[in-house]
Amino acid sequence: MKVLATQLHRTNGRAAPRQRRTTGSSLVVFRSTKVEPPEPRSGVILILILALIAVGAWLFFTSLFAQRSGISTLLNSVPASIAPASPAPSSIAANAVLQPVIIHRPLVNTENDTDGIEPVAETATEIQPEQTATTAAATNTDAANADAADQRAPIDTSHAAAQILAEHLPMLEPTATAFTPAPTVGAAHTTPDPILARPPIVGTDNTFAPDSTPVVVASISAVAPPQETPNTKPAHRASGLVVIVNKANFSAFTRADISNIYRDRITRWPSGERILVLNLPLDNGERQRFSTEILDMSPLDAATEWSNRTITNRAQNEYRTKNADVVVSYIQHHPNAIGYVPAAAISDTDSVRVVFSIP
Amino acid sequence: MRKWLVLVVAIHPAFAAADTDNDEAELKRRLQQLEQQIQTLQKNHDTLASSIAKTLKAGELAQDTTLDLEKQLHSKLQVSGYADVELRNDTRADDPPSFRIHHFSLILTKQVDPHWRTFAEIEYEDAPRMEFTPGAPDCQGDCSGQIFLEAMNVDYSPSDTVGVRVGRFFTPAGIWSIEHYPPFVATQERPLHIYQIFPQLVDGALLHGALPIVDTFLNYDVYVGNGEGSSGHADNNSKKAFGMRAAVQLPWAARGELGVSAYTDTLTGTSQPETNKFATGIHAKARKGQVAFQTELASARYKPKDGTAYTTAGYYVQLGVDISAATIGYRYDYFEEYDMPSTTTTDLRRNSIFANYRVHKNIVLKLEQHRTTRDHANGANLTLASIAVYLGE
Repeated sequence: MKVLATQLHRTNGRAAPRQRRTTGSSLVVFRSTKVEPPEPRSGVILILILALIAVGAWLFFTSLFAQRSGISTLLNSVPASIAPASPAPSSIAANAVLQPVIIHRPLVNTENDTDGIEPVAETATEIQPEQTATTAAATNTDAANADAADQRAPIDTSHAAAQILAEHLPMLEPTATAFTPAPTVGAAHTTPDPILARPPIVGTDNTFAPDSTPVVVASISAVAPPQETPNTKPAHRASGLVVIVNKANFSAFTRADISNIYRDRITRWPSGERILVLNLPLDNGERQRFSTEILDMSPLDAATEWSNRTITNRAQNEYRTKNADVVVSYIQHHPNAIGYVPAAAISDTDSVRVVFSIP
Repeated sequence: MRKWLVLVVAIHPAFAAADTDNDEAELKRRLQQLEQQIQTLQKNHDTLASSIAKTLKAGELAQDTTLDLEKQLHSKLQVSGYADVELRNDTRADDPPSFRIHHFSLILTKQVDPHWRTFAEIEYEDAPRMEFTPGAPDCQGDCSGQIFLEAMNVDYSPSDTVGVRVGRFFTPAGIWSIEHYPPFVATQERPLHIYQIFPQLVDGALLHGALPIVDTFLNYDVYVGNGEGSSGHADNNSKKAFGMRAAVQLPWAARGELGVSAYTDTLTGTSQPETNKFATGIHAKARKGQVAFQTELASARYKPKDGTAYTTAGYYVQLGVDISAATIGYRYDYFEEYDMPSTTTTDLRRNSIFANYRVHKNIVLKLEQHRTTRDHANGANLTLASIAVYLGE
């Protein structure tokens, strides 16, 4: 374009044997030997030329603005400065060992949880992958950068963590609460996580409700067939108590069976193996409830009765006292164990089987 | 004019292109940062996975270790027992109110395997003081107390329905003969007829078990033993004692039980001719809410080989009410005592009131008052304040 302008300057004032009209861009060059007022026809031509220039400029700027708009949008979507990802916190350093107890946090943080189970949020923070990203941004010294990092869509590593857990936790499945913010009460399963989605363990119907008809049995001595009952994934409520056994145990239970087990009247599984009876601590509120509703006596009476049986050499079995989370873990590892825990303490139906519920 | 127009058109795209170049560079820079961020997150991700895997492995190892340890602990000899001390004031005796260590009993149990178990109880009664010699100036009367092996047996129970126990055991009869330990009974003083009709101990073999019947269980004990009067060393005659106890759990009452007992033996000794003894008894107990009821009735018929048959009998009725950790109650006792030389019978009656307070699962404070009358004569009062401790878990 510069060349064309130069040519225009050079040819000014010289005789031109001919008049050449050049097009190809938005510029048209005239050559003449002398400067004369434009003819009326020339005014029309000038207007046309200007119109052409305007159109060309409009097209150019339109395309230019479109390009700039795209880049701007892209830029706006990227923070001005990317906060560096923080290294793994010390609690999840490569050589660190997390406390395995975290896998037994309740699925739903119930308000009535007085069984020594800490609120989910307190225990889950230790290995919150999501927190790893967001906390890193928050700790950045550049506040503006941190703000920008917060504005962007968070990189959700909770799913990835859940997948890791799923791979490494064949028996102890990850709980939603262990790696995601604690759900609100009653909303635990309303929006299932696509990765954490599992068969619901919290249902609305109480299949093993005390008033329901059990699959078997006058006594557990008369054993249920060693096959899965129609409810291999028994539903239970997130509140209340549940009686659990090992996943491999297919015995059926009535309320009387459980009472008889905890009163030392039934001491063996149908296979002949001793029943390992697990009890919650004497001062535990859940034990109070279990004892009152199942054994029809106070925990103190039940404990003294068992002691009396022991000292008089009539006790056939023995029970062990464990905390609720240990009871779950214990039963997962011990096929002959039975215990009762708050329903909210159960996070994995693949390792333990709920055989009775106390709403 | 035209020159300016051409100039504006010519240079403006150049500025625009330069601005675009800057944005692209900025975008590249940020993308580069994002890539670095992703790499860092990936490292964190890997670290987390590694940590979780190690954690799980450590958790499983810890769990196994715990189970093994617990298994070892439970396979060890278990020590339990009980002890009780009391302050007693007996108006019938000439002694002033006195304090005594009534029992210190050690119970040793070992669950050898799921089927085999041993049980032994060594009892120190009335605080024996071994360093004193009976009759010495500082040991008037019976200062030595008693030490004896109250029970020792081996039990084999292949199932809940049947088990065999061999050795020395408490006679399965009624309630109190079995459940008599101070931390778990209402009073220090036992009912009058206990141990008077059925013997306290049997050396022999016992078949026991619990049979499921409809919605409940029938507990049974059938035994054969050396009989009363035998020593631990040998039987006192060639005739054995036989006995049984059967009790059905009452399904409609918590801790409810209804049962019968029987015992037959041949008694011999220097003080009496050979006598056939046949004792029977019934017992019942039930608890509904805070109220507990318990009763036993037993009688024994003695038939000397060359003499007149006679009968002794006794019963008691006991009612208790729980108020939180405390229990208050009342018991009425009756026993018809027979005096063989004079061939006369004496009626003993006793009214007892008691209060227990369980300060701990294994510790109970007791206060009891007994008034005993003999054939409607003036009664004797016995007041006891005691502390009983269970030495188990």
